[in-house]
Amino acid sequence: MAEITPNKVLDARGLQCPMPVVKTSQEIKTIGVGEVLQVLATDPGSMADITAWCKSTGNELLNMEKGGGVFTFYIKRVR
Amino acid sequence: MLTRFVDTIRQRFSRPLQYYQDICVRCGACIDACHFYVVSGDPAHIPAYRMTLAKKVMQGRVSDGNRLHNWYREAWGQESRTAAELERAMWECTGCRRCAVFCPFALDTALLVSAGRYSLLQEGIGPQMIAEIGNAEVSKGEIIEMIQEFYVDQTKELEARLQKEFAPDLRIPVEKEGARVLYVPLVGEHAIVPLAKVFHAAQEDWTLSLFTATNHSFFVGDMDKARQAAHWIVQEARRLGVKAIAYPECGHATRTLLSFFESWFGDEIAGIERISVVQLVASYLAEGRIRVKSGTFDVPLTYHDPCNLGRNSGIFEEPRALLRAVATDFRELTPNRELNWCCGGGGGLIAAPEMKEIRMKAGRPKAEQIRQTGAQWVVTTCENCKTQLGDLNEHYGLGIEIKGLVDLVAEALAL
Ligand code: SF4
Ligand code: SF4
Repeated sequence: MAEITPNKVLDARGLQCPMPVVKTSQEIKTIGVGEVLQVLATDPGSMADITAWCKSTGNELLNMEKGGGVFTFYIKRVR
Repeated sequence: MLTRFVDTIRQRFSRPLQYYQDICVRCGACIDACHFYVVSGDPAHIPAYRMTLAKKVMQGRVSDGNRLHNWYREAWGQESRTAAELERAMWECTGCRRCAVFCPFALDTALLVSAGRYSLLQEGIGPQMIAEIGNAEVSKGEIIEMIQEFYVDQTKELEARLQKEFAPDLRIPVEKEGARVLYVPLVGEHAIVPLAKVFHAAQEDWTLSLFTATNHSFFVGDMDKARQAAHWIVQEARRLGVKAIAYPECGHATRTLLSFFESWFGDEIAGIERISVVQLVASYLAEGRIRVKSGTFDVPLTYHDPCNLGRNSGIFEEPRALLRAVATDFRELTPNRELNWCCGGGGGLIAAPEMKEIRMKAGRPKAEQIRQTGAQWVVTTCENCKTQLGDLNEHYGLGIEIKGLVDLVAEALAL
């Protein structure tokens, strides 16, 4: 996958459920439709939470990756 | 005026709610039972008035359809005042049911609030965030396969770590067919680690769920979605053929499991025991399946009964039995058990950033209660309560530490 350049980064590392989703939801509203939010989280459960949140809100999860205990999500605002 | 609210709540107005409206005698016994009213003096927070207000709006007594009258009311800001009052009455409530304990007819304000919240959301009034998280929980079943492999890997890493730190033969089985207990955690390893240790010590035949127990749709009174989110877990339990579903230290989820699964799922859930880990771990101790080092903790500590485990599910003695087994200086809050003050963070308010200020206010009786005990640790069995107590600690400078009950048991295990 080509390198994704995010328009904004949300550092949700160290936050517990449901905060990564709450913050993601707040932050996505601050970027334009079509732009990309990068979310960093340390809680493994955020993988399911953020993926499911994208599905239910209709925003697009472009990619997720794991490295060094950090999970990185790239979410494109769709609406 | 509030037509979508009225249309929706009319449909949701069950017989019990109608009886409640009829039997309230305005005796006022509930007034000082509500922590919101105690700290705010706002009539919208009086349990009986919450009911009256809903009735007034439902009967159209705020608006009579006459355009001239409506224009007049509009000009005086009556409509927006009523909407704002209704918003406070329905959202600034933690569903703790303390009022019902004081009411001579056990009138259930929280049942009204549940219907009222759902109906207000149809007007766009209230914290949308809670509903949004609820929707994501409903979608989880559809994405679970995408993350399953990753989740299993992640759990293997955790297992390897615990084998090093705790016991070389500790296992964290995921999706194990035929296991006796399906444990449904919360997001985060803090909800898995202590249970993995206790299950290991009790030699329990268990397996970890791919799902989490939280159910935010329940907070906003969206019972269809609450049922849908919980249904993934019931399907998982049946697929694996487990004998019991155990829920973590989480108040509202425990309440769904113990009070709603039966009516939601009927035959589908027949023969599958439903149990809180607090009950399960207490049974291990009572049956001698685990042993603990008595007096492991000698700091003064107290126990906060989460409304949904205590008042709403009747789990009062199990946590106390566990605490007495591991602590030397256990102090009761006054009052406690069914009369305990709510922490002020229930009803999903934790997940709504705009509710932080009212949460801190509503937690004042709790903060005072804690201070009176002189306890250094406050132990509890609900994730919402833990977050709220942590926030109260900071806000009121209580100088306490918040602890999970099963955490303490796991730390005190004698292997
Ligand atoms: S359920 Fe609790 S918060 Fe709600 S009105 Fe009754 S006492 Fe107040
Ligand atoms: S205690 Fe019960 S009957 Fe009395 S005012 Fe409150 S709700 Fe009505």
